[in-house]
Amino acid sequence: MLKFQSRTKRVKPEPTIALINIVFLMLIFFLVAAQVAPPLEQGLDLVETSDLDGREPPDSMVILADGTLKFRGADVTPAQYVTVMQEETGELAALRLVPDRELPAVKLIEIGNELRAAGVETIRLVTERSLESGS
Amino acid sequence: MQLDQPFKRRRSSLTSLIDVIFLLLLFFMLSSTFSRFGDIELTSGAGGATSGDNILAFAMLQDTGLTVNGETVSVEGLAAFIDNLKAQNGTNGLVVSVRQSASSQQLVDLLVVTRGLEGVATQLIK
Repeated sequence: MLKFQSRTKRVKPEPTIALINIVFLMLIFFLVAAQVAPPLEQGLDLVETSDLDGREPPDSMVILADGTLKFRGADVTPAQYVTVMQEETGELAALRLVPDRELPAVKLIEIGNELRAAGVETIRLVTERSLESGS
Repeated sequence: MQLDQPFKRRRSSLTSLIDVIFLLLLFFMLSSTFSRFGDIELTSGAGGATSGDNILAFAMLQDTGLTVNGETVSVEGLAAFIDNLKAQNGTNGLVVSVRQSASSQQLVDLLVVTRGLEGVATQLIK
């Protein structure tokens, strides 16, 4: 009985160095493999493409599948979006849109025309590059 | 008096180090994305102004697929089909009528192909 008690007292703590090694590895993995990005809308499936040039993650107006327009979490109209972007960037040469892949294309064209009527020259659609493209 | 004593280096505590690394790890895990983004221009409704005569091909995009001049064409085969038309009668414009049933995915797939067509201006109509 005495022997048993002395044994339980000698249990060593878990090695901390091994834990730090793993956490360091995970940290470096996330630093290298991912890029910091503003979150997009929940439940948004981006259009998939395979052979477009890559670009940085967007901070743009999102169009959900039912045609709802969202910008940074709030409901907007095309005119409001144009105003906000004009105040932030000071020019209106190009704007980006992030449509859901199930959004009716007619609706997308309508919104594009509204933005053009508000003075935007170039409208670019942001898509998600699927894996087979390679980068 | 205390200065006289030799400086003894104490082993710094690992706990605070781990705390900071954990914080960094959490931050990068939560704020980063693995998606790769691309973008493509939404062709303007006005279309490119081509000089001289316009010889147009008419495409219709709907959920069941794409037809060009009444013939069913796959999106992948569109480039070859238009090249063929260009060789036959000098087609220099493509009018795409987008029906209600077509989705954005289909439209972007089509735009990716038409972007690569040389000498053919694409115009989208509803």
